[in-house]
Amino acid sequence: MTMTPTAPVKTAALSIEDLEVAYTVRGIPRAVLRGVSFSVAPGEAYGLVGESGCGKSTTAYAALRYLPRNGTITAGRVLVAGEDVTNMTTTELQHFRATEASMVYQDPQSAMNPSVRIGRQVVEAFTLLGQPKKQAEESALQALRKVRIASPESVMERYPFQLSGGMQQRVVIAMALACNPKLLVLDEPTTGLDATVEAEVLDLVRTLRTESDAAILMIAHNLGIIRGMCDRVGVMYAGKVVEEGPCEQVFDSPQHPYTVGLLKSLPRHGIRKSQGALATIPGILPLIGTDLPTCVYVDRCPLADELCHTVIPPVVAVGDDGLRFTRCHHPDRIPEIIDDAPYVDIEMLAPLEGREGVLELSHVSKTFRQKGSGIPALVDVELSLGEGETLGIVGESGSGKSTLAKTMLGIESADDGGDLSLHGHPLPPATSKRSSEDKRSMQMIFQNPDSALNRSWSVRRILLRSVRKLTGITGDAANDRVEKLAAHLRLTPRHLDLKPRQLSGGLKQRVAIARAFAGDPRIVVCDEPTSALDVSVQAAILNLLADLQAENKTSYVFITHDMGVVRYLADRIAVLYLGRIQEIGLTDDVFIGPHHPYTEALLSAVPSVDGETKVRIRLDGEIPSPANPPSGCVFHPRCPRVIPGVCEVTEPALVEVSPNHSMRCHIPIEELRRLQSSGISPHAEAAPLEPEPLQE
Amino acid sequence: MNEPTIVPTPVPLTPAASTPPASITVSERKQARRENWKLIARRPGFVIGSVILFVWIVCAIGGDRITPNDPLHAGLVANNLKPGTTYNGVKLWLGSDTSGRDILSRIMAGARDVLSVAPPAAVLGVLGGTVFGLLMGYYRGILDQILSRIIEALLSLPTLLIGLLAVTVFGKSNTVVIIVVAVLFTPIVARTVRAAVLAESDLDYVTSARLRGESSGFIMFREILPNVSGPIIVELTVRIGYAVFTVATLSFLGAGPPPPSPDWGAQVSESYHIMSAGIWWPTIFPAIAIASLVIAVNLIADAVQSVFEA
Repeated sequence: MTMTPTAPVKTAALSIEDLEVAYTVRGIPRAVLRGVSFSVAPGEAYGLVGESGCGKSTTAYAALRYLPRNGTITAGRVLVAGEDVTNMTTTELQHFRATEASMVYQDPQSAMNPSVRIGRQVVEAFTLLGQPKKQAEESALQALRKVRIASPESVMERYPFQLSGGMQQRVVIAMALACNPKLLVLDEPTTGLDATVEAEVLDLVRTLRTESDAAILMIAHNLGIIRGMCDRVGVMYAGKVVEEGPCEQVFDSPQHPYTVGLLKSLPRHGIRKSQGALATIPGILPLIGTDLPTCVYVDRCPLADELCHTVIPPVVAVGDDGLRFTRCHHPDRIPEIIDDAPYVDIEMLAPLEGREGVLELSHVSKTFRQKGSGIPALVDVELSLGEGETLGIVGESGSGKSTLAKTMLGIESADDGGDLSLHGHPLPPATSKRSSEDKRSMQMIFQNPDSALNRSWSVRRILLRSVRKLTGITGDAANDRVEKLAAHLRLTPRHLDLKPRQLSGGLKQRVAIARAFAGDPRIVVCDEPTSALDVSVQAAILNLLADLQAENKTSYVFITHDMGVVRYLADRIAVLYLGRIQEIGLTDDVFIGPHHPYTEALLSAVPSVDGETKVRIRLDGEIPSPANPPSGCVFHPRCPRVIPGVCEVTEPALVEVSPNHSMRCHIPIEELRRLQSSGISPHAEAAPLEPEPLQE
Repeated sequence: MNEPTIVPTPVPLTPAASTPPASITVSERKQARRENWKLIARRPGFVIGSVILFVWIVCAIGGDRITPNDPLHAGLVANNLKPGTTYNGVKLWLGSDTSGRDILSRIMAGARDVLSVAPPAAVLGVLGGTVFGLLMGYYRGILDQILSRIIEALLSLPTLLIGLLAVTVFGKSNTVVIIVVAVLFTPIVARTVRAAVLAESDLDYVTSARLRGESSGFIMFREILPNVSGPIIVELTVRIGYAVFTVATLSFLGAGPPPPSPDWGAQVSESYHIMSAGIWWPTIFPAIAIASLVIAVNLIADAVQSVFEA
């Protein structure tokens, strides 16, 4: 069989051959990888994508033979630069990990020792290679400079917690590169970071690639990152690579039904809920250890037929260059599922005008007290929410998004002097002071359903309690209502008697949504309700939210960092920075522009799976501490379009620049329009990657 | 990737694979629990601990109905007979004590004293600790500060001394010992429960309960408590072991049930002064009984811990 394309090279930096891995769970080995094969050439970047549980991280860990205690390689080989990792002794393995391969993990904070200074940790990476102390210190400084840390001497004196997330990840990357590895494994290296910081770190990795010939194996659930960073991509499903090829080709013309499904479930190309529902992949990923005799995707595949159920699909080469393959019986029928009217119509929502206002916030501020000083988390927020409207709230972490949500709900009490009103009547700041009618009217959907659902309660009990408490209905009527509610959210009666941990992530989030809707709320605050979910599940949840809204005229306050999601679901968007609304307007106005420079930066930090080239503007550093906000416009220290002498002196007011579109910026709207439409990047002349100044 | 292009294996159609996912997870969970219990039951520590505990429970329930001789009958045989001697047709497996009583019978009967005091004391202490831990972890702030300081102060006091003092003041009785041990355990348990509750009350389901207007009591006892039951059960088993130990020590120091009770600690205390004369059996055998019970409970506690904290 020579159909399988391999990288056109002499010795692959990483070559995985028919790798099978099993995890022993409760005494029984359960298959996770079912024959994974691919290779990565020196200097090449290879991405692995797929839903959680598909085996991408296991593959990465197996590449360094760094599996958890209960994991074993049951078949196949891993070769790194020609050396067989699978048969190494412990000593050889130690030497191999110290000199040949490195790994960068998702959370930089847990990758470093919190009680040891940065300097010692980085120096250690070099003394491990046998360098004498003095030389290692010199190498450490150099390594930190290499990852664009401006004053490495002072960073070395610090402890990890004194650095921002982006800086921490730079340090981790510096340590990973210490041995000049032949293979660098990046496991979701930017998942815990804000989009703006993520963009910076990815820029760094991109630059470093040109300086070293390390092969990169990158794991990410964000397809846009893989497209932007990698040369080739492997799409994994249930422990098999089902499709492989160059990124642009795979993402632009997928040849496996699973890849098609993944791509179709993303809200892309600026699609809005009023244009139709998102495509979803029915069913769930098979559990590890499940017997999958033929095609691993057969149970969820829209193209599956008799053949798929009986015969293992062949590896079919795509194109003539030998770079692409798909594991499918019917690659010729792919166009059917790409073109089949992908979007289901959803009832158009009423136009914005003439909608009754539901919630009004005027001059709402929230100051947290800490050690005697006040930390303003929200400053003078003015908002109104119409009936059946979705207000998207975006901003980096620390911008006050969640505080705004909590203040609306009364989990945090707004400062004196601000007013909240619901349907025209004043709303007490604290939940405990609000009437049961007010409580019923405002409910919340949380980010993480595992945390939001009481794990020792059954689904029925969770829903029943909310129905009784919020509506006052008791007895059989309450039971009926729970069953109706569940059916409405496409939960079957059987689900009602399960505990949350027995449900998949998507089902759990459905239960959480059902609970929020138990008392027919007028307003539901959604705090990143899909960020813990896989894209195919996310699509189903977003569809459900859109449906419920169209039906009940519920208003949503939708907090998210995902620009694609907010564009899909929101009618209006508020951009928050340091607790201040910087821009607020209709979704299209905010997205199409002219936008506030901060919005512009947020938008250009989004890695796109479509590979659209955008003028990218970069933010330096991270959001300042709200405890002592910068003078003048709070955004001026990071603003790429700052007007010296103006922006640091006076804070611009939130003014309406066009109907229903307000922003807080000194630059006149026409000037912004000119700058942004002509694609003038403020970084045009500057070096692409400036050393990051150290933040105090 | 040496996979053949087409493998004509006669794999049967798989209608089973189209079973709804939820039912798979249900049976999966049930199976998981069964497998988990199988794993514990296979742990040698758990088996040994259970066997020893079972023997002592049988002794405690049976009392003098199953002892070979009357445990309280002084002068049954001659004093200080060596283990294994037969006196007037009475076989003395473990010898006799200073009052001519059968040590084996006394040890068997003594299981009742310790088992009727230690477990209730531990249960009471864990109950108290749970209530305080919930209050501290849920309300935090001033209440937590004050109670935490009080706990620290209590923990800095020497346990046995306080126990002895209390028994001296309130009189020797099982009830007093149970209450004293429970009070001594409450702060220790409260600290463990508080830590678990602190982590738990940060979870969103607590926020959600507040948003629908639940009372604090409901949130603490109905929402949070079931989720911290793991550490509480572990703490309970560990505390029973300590309670056995503490009760035995108290009675050794004279704060236990009055003579001629066959209490183990009291037996050790009555006879340890003649050990130097070479008469070791009236002291060593009750001491081994105490140790075996403590070890048995701890072995079980370890196994329980491995389930609830895995």
